[in-house]
Amino acid sequence: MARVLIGFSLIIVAFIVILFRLFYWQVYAGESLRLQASAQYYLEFTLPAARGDITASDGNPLVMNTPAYLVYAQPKFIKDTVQFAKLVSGPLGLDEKTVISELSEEGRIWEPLARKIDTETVDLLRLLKLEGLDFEPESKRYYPEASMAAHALGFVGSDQNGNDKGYFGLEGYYDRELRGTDGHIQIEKDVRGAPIVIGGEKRTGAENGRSLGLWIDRTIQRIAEKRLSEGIAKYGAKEGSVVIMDPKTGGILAMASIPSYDPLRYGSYDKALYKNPVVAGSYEPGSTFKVLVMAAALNERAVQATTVMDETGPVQVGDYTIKTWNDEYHGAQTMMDVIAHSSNVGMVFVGKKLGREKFIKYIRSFGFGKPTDVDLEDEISPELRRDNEWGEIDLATASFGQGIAVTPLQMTRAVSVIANGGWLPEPRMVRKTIDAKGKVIEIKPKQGKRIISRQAAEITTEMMIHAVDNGEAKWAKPKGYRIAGKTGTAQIPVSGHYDNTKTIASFVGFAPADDPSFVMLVSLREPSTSQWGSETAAPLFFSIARDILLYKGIAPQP
Amino acid sequence: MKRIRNVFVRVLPVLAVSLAVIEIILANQLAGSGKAVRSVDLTVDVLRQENELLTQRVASASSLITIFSRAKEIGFIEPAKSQYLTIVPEQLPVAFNNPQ
Repeated sequence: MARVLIGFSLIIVAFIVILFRLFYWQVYAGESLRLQASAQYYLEFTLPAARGDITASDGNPLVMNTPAYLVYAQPKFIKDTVQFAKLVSGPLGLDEKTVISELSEEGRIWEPLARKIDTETVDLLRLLKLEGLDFEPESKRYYPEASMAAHALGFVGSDQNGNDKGYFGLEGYYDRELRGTDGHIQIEKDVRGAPIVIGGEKRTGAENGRSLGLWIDRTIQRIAEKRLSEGIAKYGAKEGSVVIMDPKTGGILAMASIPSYDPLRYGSYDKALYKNPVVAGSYEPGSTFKVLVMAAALNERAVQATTVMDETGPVQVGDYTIKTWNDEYHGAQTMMDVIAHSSNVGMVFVGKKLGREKFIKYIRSFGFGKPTDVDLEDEISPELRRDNEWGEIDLATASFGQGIAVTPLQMTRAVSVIANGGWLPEPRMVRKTIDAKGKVIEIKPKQGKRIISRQAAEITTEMMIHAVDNGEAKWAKPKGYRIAGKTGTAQIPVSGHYDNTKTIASFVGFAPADDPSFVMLVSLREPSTSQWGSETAAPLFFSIARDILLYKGIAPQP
Repeated sequence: MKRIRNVFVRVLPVLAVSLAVIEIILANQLAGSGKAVRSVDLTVDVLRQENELLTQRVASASSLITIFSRAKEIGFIEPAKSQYLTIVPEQLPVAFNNPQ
């Protein structure tokens, strides 16, 4: 009986062992064994999707792909690790000791040495005929116009798994569309590793990423970048931005900020430079804001161009005294004069005439307090006070553009309302997308809601033309053109107070005023030759405008 | 009728065997052509890469950076002052007035 029990127990134990072993093969190691078996029978490849190009309005590429390689080593085939490291580290720009230590690690069968290596370097390495060194084709981004429009374009880096991923600008915003979908192929192979033509095959084709056709005109972009760079040097500014938009479509024609970075070597720049100041930076617009408050007041018929106010001296608002920028007072002033002299006292008068509720309503209608929804990553929108938090002094200071923060793009869009006859455009970078089969999808401009009447827009335009023709920067204006514009100089708030020595000088305007082909905002941070917009940003605006008018073949009026 | 059936009985096995042999020969040839397919795939990859490189060179050669630098080399300068020629109908240039 005992022998029977022992025999039975042994059978049970054997059965349990077999059960565990089966569990190990089928469940625990099932996936890896399946892959091993698959590797014996099949050739498997990933078909990488090509990232889409980004082209300027003339179809020339701003960003495209170029062949590159992943360079890797297989330590088990390397005969002399030290000699190997010595030969490859130079061309790949690697540290020799690091390469030796990585290749000498136990159990390493595959060691990636460098990614996105260009074909010239790979050709050089191939000549060495080193055993254990191999190359895997991939692609990398190439920028024919170098760092042009870097802030708008963004760059391509790697995600946590080492796959390409777009960051910032268009590369970040449209990453999914640009990236496409990788394909996969599985083919039965023979004993030599060659595919069996009549064997089984599973193929999922790669879907290449969509290409983006932009509104950006590369000639205007070049003009903006070149002139901005010269302007920053000439006026000793710390930073500067230019944004140029078509007021009729909302298409961004150029977007430049300095300092900038090279998207090809983004890693060697300060990360703070990656964000686009035109959409991710805020500032107080200063006197450029006056044209919007005036347009609102004209639209509400709170004032007319001929309305007269008496500018006899500073105006008292609560505990605060508000002066003009140069502490000069001109007596009886029409609204035309208020804009031409950029009178803070005059604008307090206009703000009061407009009234608190309507003032706040128009600020929101012009698009402040919410993002413009431009197709760029990292757009911010400085918050506005809640409606019940606006005091008398807030209304007064906001009427001349202080105590309110905006982004350069919000300001450009708001002034577009005056340029295009009264409606709010939606800023767009991308004009069309093109899929891998060449199918073009045009993105039609959206016409936003009407903010002011055509008549109010035209009167404000005349005020801005008058301000340019009689302002301090009139000497810089291109002769024979009607250009509408307004200077702005805003102090920079530092620790809750305004620093009198630090200003943001700006100029916003459009040309030709009667049928504008562009709206442009130029801003310079902390110019040192002069703190005033009329002596720094305005001449820079006119130099860019002159080049654009010449490029577009718009002749001056005789 | 019986004669026709006898012919079928003799011919069909021969036909079946012949077709089987042909299939084996063709399958053998196709199975062996994997190497050629691989070679064609490699050529396609090389040509695709070459095409990408040439596209990149075209883009580089037609970039504004290259154009401005080349224009500067051959003596072009940026216009310091623009001049516009206005043509009014009463004062057409000679070339416009005389189509011959």
